[in-house]
Amino acid sequence: MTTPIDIEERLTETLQTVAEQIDPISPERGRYAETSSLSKGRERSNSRTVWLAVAAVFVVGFAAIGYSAYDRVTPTEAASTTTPEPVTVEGLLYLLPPEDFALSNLVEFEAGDEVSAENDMSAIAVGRPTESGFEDLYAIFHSTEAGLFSIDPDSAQMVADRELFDSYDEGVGEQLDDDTWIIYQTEFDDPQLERLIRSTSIVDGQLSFTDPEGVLDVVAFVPDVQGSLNTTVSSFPDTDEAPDPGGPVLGYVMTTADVDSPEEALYYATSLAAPDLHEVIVEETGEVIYISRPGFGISLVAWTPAQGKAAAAMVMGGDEQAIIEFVTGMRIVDADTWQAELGGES
Amino acid sequence: MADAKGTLSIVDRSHPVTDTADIDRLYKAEYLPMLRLAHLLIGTAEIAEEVVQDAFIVVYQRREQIENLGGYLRRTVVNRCYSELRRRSLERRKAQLFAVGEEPVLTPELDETWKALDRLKPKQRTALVLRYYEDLPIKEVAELMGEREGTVKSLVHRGLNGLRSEVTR
Repeated sequence: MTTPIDIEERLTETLQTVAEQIDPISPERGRYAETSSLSKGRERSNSRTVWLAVAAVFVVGFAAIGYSAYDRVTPTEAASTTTPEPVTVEGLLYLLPPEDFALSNLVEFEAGDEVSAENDMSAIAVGRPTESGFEDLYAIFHSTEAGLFSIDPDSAQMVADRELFDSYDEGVGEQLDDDTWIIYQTEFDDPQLERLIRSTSIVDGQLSFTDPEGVLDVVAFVPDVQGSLNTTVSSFPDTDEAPDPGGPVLGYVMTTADVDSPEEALYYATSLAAPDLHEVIVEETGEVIYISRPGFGISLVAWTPAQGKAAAAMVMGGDEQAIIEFVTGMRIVDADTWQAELGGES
Repeated sequence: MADAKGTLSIVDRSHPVTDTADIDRLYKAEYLPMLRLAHLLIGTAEIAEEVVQDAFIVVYQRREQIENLGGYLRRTVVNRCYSELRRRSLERRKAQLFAVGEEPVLTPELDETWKALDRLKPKQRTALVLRYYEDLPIKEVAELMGEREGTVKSLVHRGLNGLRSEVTR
């Protein structure tokens, strides 16, 4: 007879044992030390030693010039000598689809078509063209294997047949004839898309919906004044404001000032009346693109429904070394802080 | 100051920081705890070191906008570890390769658990490390990961089940 394993105890012991074996570099070394005042202190100390020696021979003014030159070295400059050179994009950032990726197939597929994601690192936004020229159905998929999904226009159901390796919450919304909306989403580790939110409605131009089934997360799409879907709100009931299932759902959106900073990993509570989405205006055309980051840490989705195009990107890495893993779409405007390898792969 | 597990409290202020000495002190106090956390999250010391160095540089560069240095630092480390973990997970799936990192010296039981940890989904691993190494309550893990508490509970539950099935296989 075997003894049951206390996996929690074993895990804790394993983690502590491994952690204790870590042999770090000295805090006095490393790229941070080179960037921060730690290195300045060392360099100043060193320069002071040199200065004393040199001062015996040269005039003090010469050393002062040298110190002044050192003082103009910024942390960024210091860091740039030890970190990989990112590609810095000023202004418009054009995100390119992977080579051979059939972009047109993604944005022009017919309802009911099966669409296979060719890149297993993909985040995909899809839409269904309508008579008005807008896309009224969107889905955002993070697919690890060749994601395969289909849309059945008759039942208005969307079935996700893919392997979720992570707990992304993905949503899709559909506008009904009476201008109400249905929101669907997938749940953690469950590839089945569930019809979760019903009878949503537009009030004063803003999306208003309830959560009749007590579901926590939804991804909603908010129509703009032209009637296009153009924003998304990833929401869940705030326990302070809406403790009861079925109560109003507050909007939670991420800030999108730059990539991979802690703020972006947080959902900030907003009100539905003021969805705090990142709005980017394409300088060349005046086109407005809305960007939201519905996932934890690394995902970026942007789309331009008014143009009948959908775009999505997955950005990995920090703002210094963001890597565009996969992009579909025409182009996305980037914030100033973004730096990326255009069309790059990891 | 940081406790043995690296709980960050060295600089926890409510106003923006401009003094780089604060960050230097944070670096000296929290470098090792953050490195340990990153190592446990990622599984390899070399990348963990890169992540932690990057995180400190980010904190340094954004110090004037940061109110809570310690919290910002830890969130940055966790975020970057998760990004790295997820990237590796994707690459691993794509290449059908198993990541090989530094091998800590462990008893067979612990070694088995350590390797099993590497086979978990990135979010499960992140949740387990924060819960069982950092000893954070579910609420804080959820806040740190940007997830709801129910999701974190599920991640922990599934992660433990995954570990258990791996080590009893």
